Amino acid sequence: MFLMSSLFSRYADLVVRRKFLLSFLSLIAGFAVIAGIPNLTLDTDGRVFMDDQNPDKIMLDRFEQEYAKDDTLSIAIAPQDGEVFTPETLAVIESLTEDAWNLPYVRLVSSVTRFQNTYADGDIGLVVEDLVVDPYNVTPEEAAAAKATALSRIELDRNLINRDASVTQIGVIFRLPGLDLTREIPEIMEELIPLIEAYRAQHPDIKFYYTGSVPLGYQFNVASQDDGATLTPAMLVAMLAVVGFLLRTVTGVFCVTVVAVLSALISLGSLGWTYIPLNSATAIAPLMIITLAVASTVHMLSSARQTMAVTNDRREWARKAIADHGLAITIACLTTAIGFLSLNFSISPPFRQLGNMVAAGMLGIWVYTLTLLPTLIMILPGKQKANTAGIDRVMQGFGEFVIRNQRRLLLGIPVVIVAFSAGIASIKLEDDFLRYFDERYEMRQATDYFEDNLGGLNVLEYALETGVESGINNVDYLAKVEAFTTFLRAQPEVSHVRSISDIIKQLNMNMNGDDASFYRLPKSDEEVSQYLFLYELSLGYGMDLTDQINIDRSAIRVTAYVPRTTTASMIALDGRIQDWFQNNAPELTSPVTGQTHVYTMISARDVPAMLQGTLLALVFISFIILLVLRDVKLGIISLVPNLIPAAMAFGLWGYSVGTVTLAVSIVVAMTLGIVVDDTVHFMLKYAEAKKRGETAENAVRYAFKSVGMALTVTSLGLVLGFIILGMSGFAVNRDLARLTAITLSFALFVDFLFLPPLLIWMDKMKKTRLPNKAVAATLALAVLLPLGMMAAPAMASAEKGLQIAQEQDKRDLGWGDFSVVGRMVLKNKAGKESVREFKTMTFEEADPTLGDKSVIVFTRPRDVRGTSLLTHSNIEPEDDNQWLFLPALKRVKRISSSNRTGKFVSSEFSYEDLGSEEVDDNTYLWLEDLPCPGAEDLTCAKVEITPKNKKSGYSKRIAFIDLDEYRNYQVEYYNRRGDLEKTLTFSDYRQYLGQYWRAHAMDMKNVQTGKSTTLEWDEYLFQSGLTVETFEPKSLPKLSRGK
Amino acid sequence: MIAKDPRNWPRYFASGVMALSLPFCLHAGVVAAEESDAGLFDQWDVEHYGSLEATVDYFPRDAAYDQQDDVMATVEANPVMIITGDQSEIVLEPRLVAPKHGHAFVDLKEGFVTTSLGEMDLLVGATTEFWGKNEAANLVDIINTKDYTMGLQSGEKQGMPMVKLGQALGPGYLDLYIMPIFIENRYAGAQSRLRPNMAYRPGVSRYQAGVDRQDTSTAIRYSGYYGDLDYGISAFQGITRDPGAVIDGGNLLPLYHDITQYGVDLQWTTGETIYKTELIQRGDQLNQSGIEDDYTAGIAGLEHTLYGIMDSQGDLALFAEYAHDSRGDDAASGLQNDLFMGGILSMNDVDDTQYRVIIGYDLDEASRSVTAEYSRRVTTGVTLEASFYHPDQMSKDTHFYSFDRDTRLHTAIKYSW
Repeated sequence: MFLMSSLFSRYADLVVRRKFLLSFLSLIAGFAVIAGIPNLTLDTDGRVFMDDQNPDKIMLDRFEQEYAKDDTLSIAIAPQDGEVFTPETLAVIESLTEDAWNLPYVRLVSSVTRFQNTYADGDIGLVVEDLVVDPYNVTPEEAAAAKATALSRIELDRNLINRDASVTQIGVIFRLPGLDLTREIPEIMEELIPLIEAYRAQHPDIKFYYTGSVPLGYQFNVASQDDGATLTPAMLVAMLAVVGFLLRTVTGVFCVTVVAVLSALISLGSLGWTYIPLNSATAIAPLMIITLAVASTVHMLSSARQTMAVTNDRREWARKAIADHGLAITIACLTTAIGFLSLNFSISPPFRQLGNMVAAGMLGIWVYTLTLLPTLIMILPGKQKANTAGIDRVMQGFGEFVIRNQRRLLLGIPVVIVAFSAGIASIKLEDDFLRYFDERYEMRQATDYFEDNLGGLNVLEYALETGVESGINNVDYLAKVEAFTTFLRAQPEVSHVRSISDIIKQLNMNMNGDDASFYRLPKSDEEVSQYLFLYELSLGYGMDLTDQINIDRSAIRVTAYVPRTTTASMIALDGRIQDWFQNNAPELTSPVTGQTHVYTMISARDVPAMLQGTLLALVFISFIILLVLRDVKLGIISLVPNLIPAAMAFGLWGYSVGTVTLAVSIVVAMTLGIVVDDTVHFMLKYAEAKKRGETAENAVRYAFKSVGMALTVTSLGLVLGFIILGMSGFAVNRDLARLTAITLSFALFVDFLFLPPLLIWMDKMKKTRLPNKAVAATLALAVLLPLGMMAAPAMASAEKGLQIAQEQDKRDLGWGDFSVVGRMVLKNKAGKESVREFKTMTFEEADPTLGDKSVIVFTRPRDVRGTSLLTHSNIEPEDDNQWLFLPALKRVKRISSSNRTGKFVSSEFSYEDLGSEEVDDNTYLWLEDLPCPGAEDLTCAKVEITPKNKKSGYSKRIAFIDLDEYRNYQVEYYNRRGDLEKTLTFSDYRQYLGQYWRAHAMDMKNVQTGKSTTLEWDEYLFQSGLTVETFEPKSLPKLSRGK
Repeated sequence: MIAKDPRNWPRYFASGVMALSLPFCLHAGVVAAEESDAGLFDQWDVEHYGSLEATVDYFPRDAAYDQQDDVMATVEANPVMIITGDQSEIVLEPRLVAPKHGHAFVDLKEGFVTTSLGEMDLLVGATTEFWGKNEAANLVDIINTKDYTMGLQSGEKQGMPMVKLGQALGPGYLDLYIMPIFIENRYAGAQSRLRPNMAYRPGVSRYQAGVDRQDTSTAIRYSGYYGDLDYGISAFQGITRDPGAVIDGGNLLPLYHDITQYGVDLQWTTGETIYKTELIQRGDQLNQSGIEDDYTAGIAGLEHTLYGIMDSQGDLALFAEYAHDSRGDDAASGLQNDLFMGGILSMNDVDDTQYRVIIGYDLDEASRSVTAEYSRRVTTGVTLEASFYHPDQMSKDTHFYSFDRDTRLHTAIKYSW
């Protein structure tokens, strides 16, 4: 470490000599990055937090393909007289409905006036018409009649009107082309906002509120601009105030501003060059950079200020600052960048982008702190100050206090730590994307009003699948849908349920002369399909049932509206619903989906993903600390102050707030890199003094004296910066910033009050006992391993048998090459499972006298990752040629391949079972035709196969081959003694290239031992252009890497 | 007190920072690029995995020399990142090692870009290479230097910076290696066991007059297979990977010099029995007496595998190999008239349990060594390795007498992610 600083000493000389050149070069490089800023756009899609890989999102996409992607707008209309059904209000509703139809991308507008009312008419049977036929000329009597009808209909209940008919809504559904969301949503909103304003002006006696996914998306846009516009100046001013107060120099303030602003611009420019739009989460990256820039530059400036007291040579101010602090600053920038880069493990794309932007900004800070900043110190007309700062004396006093009370602190602080950390248990994940924005925004107020007065905006979607085309007309099925609907309505959380079973019941009543006793499902399937047909024919413009029934009419969508949900209540509700399915209609079981559900689960999904990222960051950062401190024991102690603050912060949050959003998962990784800086500074000084032969106490004193002030000031600056960010109106940013501010405060607390007594104690421990240095190594094992672990599948019959084998062989010729991913689950008798994963690539030799070539590359378990086996098959009885690649040694080794009967990776499959086979390898005997095992509707030939090669592990096999496509459905293996040993069943056949059938699941059961292996195949890729050269031993290193 | 050479520090530091930050930076860049619609990076695919390993070597017998410790230990992280593009590939695999003695260090075991130029394969960067066929020793294997921080018994290959060109030629494959920078062997200091009677001074080395670290080493190898025969022919010219030694202030310093080596390696695979041999001719190598010398050396042996022994799933591979060196007692490798016999029992169970026993006899000096190893998977991602090494009658051995008291119990736990 002390020698490493000689590098910076030499670099400092270089800066002094070549200050302009270095500054010029760093500015040129910076501007090249900053030039990316014009590429920036703003993303307004509310779904930006959902990754395409998120399984919930994938399910939602599938659901939306089946039905429709609902981009919604809900306009709540509340007349102040508390009565929707007056002639005047109905006219306003109709007029706004008409105007809403003129918004861009509208697919459907529904309102109480246009509700499709159905009733019986003696002459023509069913009438379908608008609830209010002529809304502009309504008599009070007609209004009262419409009200009575509306309140009687369950389809409207707490959806289009509330229960006392004082609030109604106009619901608008859009179909966005989805080509450019940064334009489409603002396009709608720019027409909607003036429209609503105009109505508010014309009708002061009616209140209008609008919400829904389209205004929400727009809100993402507005909020990020707000954060940029209001927080940035506050942040800059606060930061500069801190620097100004601390160093009392205007020049210093100017220097910090230059570095901070340049670095913030670099972080924006780096995003610009990737052409990814800015979004609400990434909008705060520049603000974070400004905060972090202050922490970095302060070290240089305070050093320069200390040197001022000694000399008036400006070059010496800069030189000494770099020589003394260059290394610490470099380490600090590096660890911070690593912390942020580990956000790449998050499942939410905005966090990944945020991490990368801040890392780019950190690079800027590092470069400019070591080039531009010293240059500015040398050339700017700052006045020389001779006095030393008084805060240093405070720090020395504080150090004495800690040493005096070391015993008490050593015992007391852990109690505090545990007490705080225990609060983690109270933390609840709560992602309510409708409330990601706080009450200062109109859209949030509208959402609250809407859910409190009308009904839920959150939706849980269920698709009840019959599996049969037009299956929804089945009355038994409909009875279950009705029961499901009734069950949902009975749940206290649910405000409204949309289900087609209500319409069918209504129609049945109408078709029976409006006899209320017929308000039930019809008795026959034919009646259902007739009623629905009639109803759809008579529906008004733009209305149909395609968003409630899928295209082939095999499934019905049931939607539950839930106001004011939380993650926990949502999961509990869905739990009860899934129980209902289990108990009442297991065949209809449908997983929940919908945008709400994706958001509800997003934190729960991100936490495990980020755990991995955090762990990796921890490993890297710990290694850097090891490199710097060069002492394993100190390195391990350094984990304490690095990890405890986050635990305490979450604990405090659990006690005080209790609920966190999406931000929770990334906080630890993010703060880790920042928190480490304090630890490194303190421990470096401690180690330095110890090396000089000081006692542990004196080393602590020295550490307090030399870095105590800088640590206090930078921590305060950082905390202040993140507190300002915590004022964001966007909940994700707010929680993120507040948690970070708390973590950083606790870090200072632990570094000052717990770390020093711990260091002294460790030092005494060493003196009193422990002659054996093995303890250190054991300790390293004990700490690192659990951390590591966290992270942590008759002649005529002979001729017929041969024909079947030949046909089977012929049908599987000409595929050229393919690759496939295999997953084996090995189960022993007790049911204990272990997993093997691998990719195999196979090349078909066109020449029938040559065998195929194949490679197996293992990916799991991780310790054999990259181990690869290359096989050139030969025609029996000649042995195959096999090469094994061992990645740890990079050794390609030709191996003996006589081992046919051996188990493939200790599974129930032998090498022989998995190898390629030619017709001539065996003799065949057809036994009988019978229904295929596992696929009763197909006919299979039962064929006895006897191997010619004596080395085979089997006396015979019995295969069941279907006579339509010549696929194996089952194979029974008989051992050399002639007993049945294993049964292999094939399922999930799919056809590739319109010709070749491949089973996606194979299940091998050993009858003798009770063990079994399932082998799943996935990601078949045919004719991907693999060449015969790929299947040479020379290519194994490359193949083992997966290419 | 062992002085540390400050000249090396900027290099260690720079390589450390680069090794640590590069995977992240590259990953970040690629992830960002993947999400953009720039199109250029659509084909890039990033993968990363790696392992973390803790090793403790315990030496139960009292040390022969002052300062030698009874316990040697390391913690080693081995992150791997692979960025695959349509035409080229970037591989980064730094070894981050924190030993108990000496300081933590980074070795860029793999760190290269590889691409195809028409029919030719080009690799630029640091990498490790394996040449050879035998089990007990690989005489032809010469590309990489080694990290001996856990003792001279166990050397781990270090990445060697190079430009490597490969091209299919006739029935085989031709590789050309140009290595412009030489990475020195890494030796443990006085506290280490399994070292010479005089300790190396870590981080310091000497070069013979006219030889420099920046000298380019070159190598060429033609390899392939024909039926059951696998073959390789190689030539190497440049700095030796087996330096001589000079004494300086009570310490040993490695002395590097130029050599020329020609090598042949052959393997004939016939059913369950495999025959293997390697032969080299090397010029200008310093021998045990410190004199430059030309010599010929070879190793030959056979391996026979018994599949499913005693009706179990286990396979037992038995091998015997004999090594000879024309320099006799002056052979620096100590493999002048040695016989190796061993067995590898692979249980082929779910945990990949394996037992290995290797016995080495020096037929000239009657000294022996026994190595017994055991390895298995403990749970998903975690593997355990334990071994026992015992030198017998080693005090009479001219080469390894300093190992006489270094009976070793080795334990390593590795977590792979």
